[in-house]
Amino acid sequence: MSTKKNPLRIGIIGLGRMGLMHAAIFNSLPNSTVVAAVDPSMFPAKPLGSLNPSIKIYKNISKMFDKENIDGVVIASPVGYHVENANECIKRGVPFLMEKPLSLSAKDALPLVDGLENTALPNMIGYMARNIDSFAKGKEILDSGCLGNIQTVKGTVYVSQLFKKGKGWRYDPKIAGGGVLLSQGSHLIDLLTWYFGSVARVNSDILSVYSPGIEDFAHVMLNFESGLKGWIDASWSVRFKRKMELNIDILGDNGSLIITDDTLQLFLDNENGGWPAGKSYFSANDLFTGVYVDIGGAKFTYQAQKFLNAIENNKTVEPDIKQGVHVQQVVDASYESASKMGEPVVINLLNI
Amino acid sequence: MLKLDKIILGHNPLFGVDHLNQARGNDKQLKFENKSALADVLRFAHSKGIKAMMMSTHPRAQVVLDIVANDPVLKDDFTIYPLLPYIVKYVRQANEKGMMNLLLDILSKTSMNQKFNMMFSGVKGVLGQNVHELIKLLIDIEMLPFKGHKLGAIFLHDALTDLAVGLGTDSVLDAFRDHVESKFDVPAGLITKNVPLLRGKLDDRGWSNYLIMASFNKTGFFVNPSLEETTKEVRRPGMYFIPMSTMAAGAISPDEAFSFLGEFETINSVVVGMSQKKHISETVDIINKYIKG
Repeated sequence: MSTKKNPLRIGIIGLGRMGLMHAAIFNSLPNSTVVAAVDPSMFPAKPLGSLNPSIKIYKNISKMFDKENIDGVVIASPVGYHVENANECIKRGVPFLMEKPLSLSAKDALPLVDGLENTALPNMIGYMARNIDSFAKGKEILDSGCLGNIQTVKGTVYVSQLFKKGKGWRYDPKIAGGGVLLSQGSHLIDLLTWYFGSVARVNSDILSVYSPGIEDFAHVMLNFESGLKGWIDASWSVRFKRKMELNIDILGDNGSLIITDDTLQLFLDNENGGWPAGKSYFSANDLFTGVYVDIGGAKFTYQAQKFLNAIENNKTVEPDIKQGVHVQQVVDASYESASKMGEPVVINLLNI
Repeated sequence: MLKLDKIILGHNPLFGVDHLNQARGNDKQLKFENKSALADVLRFAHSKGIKAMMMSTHPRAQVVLDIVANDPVLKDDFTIYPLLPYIVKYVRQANEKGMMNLLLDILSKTSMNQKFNMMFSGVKGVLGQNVHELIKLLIDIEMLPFKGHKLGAIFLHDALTDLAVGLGTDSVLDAFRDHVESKFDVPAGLITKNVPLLRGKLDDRGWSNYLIMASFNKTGFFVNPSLEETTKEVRRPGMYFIPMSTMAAGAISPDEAFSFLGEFETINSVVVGMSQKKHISETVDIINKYIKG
């Protein structure tokens, strides 16, 4: 990477699948290079360090900060260590991009919000679905106001993942913090709050089939602060969904918008906001734009570029930790509601 | 001069993957749950001159391999191009168990003899002393289902190729190539989503006339960083190139797709995902019209 001119020096916390992928992306982009990685376990940290000696391996984050000059950190440790690692970044004044979900509960993450309160430190939460071409285009269409008054919204997220009792941390409520709603449903909640603002109240029901204490199905009614009502449905135990599939269906008084991972379909009664009456359809081909490097999906490259841009210009970037906390609040409130037979639970809104 | 099959059947439609529309892929997955429908398509494709197929170790792969092994015509006249590994499975396991447990799980599938080797090479590999030995072992484990089959080339999945290049650990690509070529006696190929970056890296490592497979099509779908830059690399000598996503996931017609690819002298093989007889017949004729094998 000697050809790069003054690249930003990135440290990676956690060398699981996501950590490795982020490391490869940041190491490939022209304006950044990975100089250090933190992981207490030997594999894959040790082989990585021996195959690429320019990435220094450390057992913990403070040792890395003591030895290296770091411009930005990617936190991809197990969820239970997210807050601790982020606090260390705040203490050292180093911008960070944190993998989702933020923490085991919103309450755990509140010290972070306080810690960031009076700083301009760039901080980002890895809800990358905002960078999927179709959902980014969806935001642009919604912001044009072409649908008129939004009447209702529904969202689904499905994947074929679990059909027997789950093994590993993902299915241990104490370590994972939740099931499909936290793991995959949180992407959907992030997209909907990006589109429509904060959620003020939820009613929810969840169903655990395979793993005690971890939901395999979740159904949540959302009441947004704006007054908009909608609902989401999430499951990782449905058939024939090889990859996670997100779907958002929006109804306005001038038409409808259906967004999937691959496609986007707009229908308008009347021309509005620069969009024509009738049907407008975008396929994956229409929406595709090449990226400098694709390792695990263009959405992660866009995310990395936004983070680097925020560091270079010392400015805020979205979605930030505060927005991540709100997503977490919606998830927490959904669990609480489900535990009370679907009673409404009011969310104590952060100013996002 | 590398001799590869001109038409290689892609496995995606048979395995239920559709890059343009996952709903359509899901329907196909349902259709080919029926084993005889799958056998029927393979035999028909063979009768039209498609004698090769790309295949990962997807759970469905064993079904296809059994069909080939037990068919009187296919068993001696059908070449498999393995794609290692079936990444979706490992991604999920890595998420759930962590990297270390995933590795130990994979290694536990080895035979006694391999286990013995692992004691000396694999464990050291884990400790970072001899990663290349570990890679050999992982390749051998992934290749087990293909034993006894006629092989064309063995490809490394783009997720791993691109990860290795991105992490600056590209010496593992040398280990992959050397082991595939010495043990299985077929060319080692690399699949990538980033042709220009990979070519730069391989040239730096002193590779020549290497085999690369990547999305390449008229609309630039799945082509990074751009169609223009990738086109330059496809024209540049020094590489055998097999395009995939040739019909941009069904967005363009076979005629449009292969008349475009036919303009490149460097392209003599294509991967095409097809699952309908009518589509196979038409497409084979069109490929033969434009692509010089």
